[in-house]
Amino acid sequence: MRFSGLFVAAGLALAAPAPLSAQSAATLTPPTAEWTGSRTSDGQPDVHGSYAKDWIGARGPNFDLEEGQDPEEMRATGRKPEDFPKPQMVRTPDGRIPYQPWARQQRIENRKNFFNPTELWHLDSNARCLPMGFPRESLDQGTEIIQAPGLVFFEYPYNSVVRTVYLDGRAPLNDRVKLWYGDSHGRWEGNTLVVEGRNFNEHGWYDTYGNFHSSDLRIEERFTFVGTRMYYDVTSHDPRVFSQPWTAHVEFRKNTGNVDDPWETACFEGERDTQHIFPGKMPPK
Amino acid sequence: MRHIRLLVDVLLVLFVADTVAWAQTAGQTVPRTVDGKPDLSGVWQVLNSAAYDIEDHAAQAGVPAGAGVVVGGEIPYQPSALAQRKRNYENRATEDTDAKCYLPGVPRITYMPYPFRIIQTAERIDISYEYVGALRHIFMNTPHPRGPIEWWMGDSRGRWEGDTLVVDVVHFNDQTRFDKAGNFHSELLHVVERYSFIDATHLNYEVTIEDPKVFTRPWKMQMPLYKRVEPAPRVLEYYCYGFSDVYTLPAGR
Repeated sequence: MRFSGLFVAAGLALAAPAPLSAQSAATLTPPTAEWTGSRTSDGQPDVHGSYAKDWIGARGPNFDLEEGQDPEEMRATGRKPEDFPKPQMVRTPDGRIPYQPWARQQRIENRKNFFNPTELWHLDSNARCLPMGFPRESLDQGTEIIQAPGLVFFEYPYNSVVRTVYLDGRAPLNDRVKLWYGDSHGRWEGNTLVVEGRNFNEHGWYDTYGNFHSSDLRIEERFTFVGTRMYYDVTSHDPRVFSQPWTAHVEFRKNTGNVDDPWETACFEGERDTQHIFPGKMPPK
Repeated sequence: MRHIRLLVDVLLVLFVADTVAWAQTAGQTVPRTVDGKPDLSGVWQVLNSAAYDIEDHAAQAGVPAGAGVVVGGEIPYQPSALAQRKRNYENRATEDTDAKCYLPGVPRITYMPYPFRIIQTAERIDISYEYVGALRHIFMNTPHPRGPIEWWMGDSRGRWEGDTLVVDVVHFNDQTRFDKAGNFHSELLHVVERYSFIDATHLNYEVTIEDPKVFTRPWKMQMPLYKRVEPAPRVLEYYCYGFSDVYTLPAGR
């Protein structure tokens, strides 16, 4: 039920006029400020509630993080950079992820494989009803935030999963433990929740288009709350894949009206029938 | 004699057919929320072998022996349902949800051998399970949506009866089972769960099962839930699929 609400929100967002600062790589997030609103029992800024993605990056689950920036895609599809919503999600001067050369080739290959799959692993994990992984999930549809003493929970209705951020100073997990959603530790700086995440596996992409990371990925996320807006910046560090850290930016709007019950979304059980999704292309498994 | 016989019958009803009132430990304070309700927040887990078989069972390869969790010992199947249970047992290695890593339904997910975290707010109680990352919402003091709807985990509506959280669950599909031994239900399954504190770190978990297509009468399960008391318990991930045929970086990268 909420799911459809998010799609509506995304549709409205696309109809909005594009902002002028389209090609700037500068941050779009207001500077961190004091939190003046109410607080939870353990003193956190009270930000609980349901958030839908707003105008930037409002492309739904099958998006390309570098959309409108990839010359090869432009050639293949005939679309032009101006066909895509602005501003760009990847906050680099050219809107592209700073891959190492081998990794750029790998990204191109991933994308080709995805659209012409001959192996199950050519498909992105979400197309197979495997977990989306991180930070893709937080760049996607929207989230519901629930707070408890020492904890912040992000519930993602699209895949019906919870991601837990620990504020209680507990020890991080050993590097050997790899997770689709990683191990996340956070702290509040005024109106901004700063989260450091690591322990990711390498099975999940950033998007459907083959943008990827390794299991050495570390992320720093900043959730900045101003009025009913949540500004989200996630910086990816992965020295195996990227030549330098880079930041993606999306924005969310708090749902201040009635929110429908989040009903079951059970895509989430490992699709094994992909030969029927891609008839003629997939070997029977 | 007649009175003694009656007393025996009453005792049977109280202590065999029905759940057991586990004594609360004196002097222990049950955690409470600011609005005075019992606070179930935290990481919990069962310690039993119900995931293999909810009835009493002997050991076999890969299955430890276990005392069942069915109150009164046996599930009151309709005679016609026993053949289905036998087929389910025989095809369990391929057709059970646990073999496919599908969502296992309620109450089975509670007594699978993995931790789960209860996230309690006034309007909703959510349960985040390690097994296949399942997330369950218990909506408080609201009615079920009109059916028929077939969900893997059903629709859960909660209320407080004194200090007991009572959760009414309907709108199931007929694909989930109660265990790996083939015990099953239809889409008419109606589950009522009761969560109540025994002491600060133990919950009494009672479940009433009703399904007019499969059973001759309602029946119950009962088991304790144990709070994970280590300093920083976590619910990690067990997506039991996705260990092969997944995207990995080329060798050497």
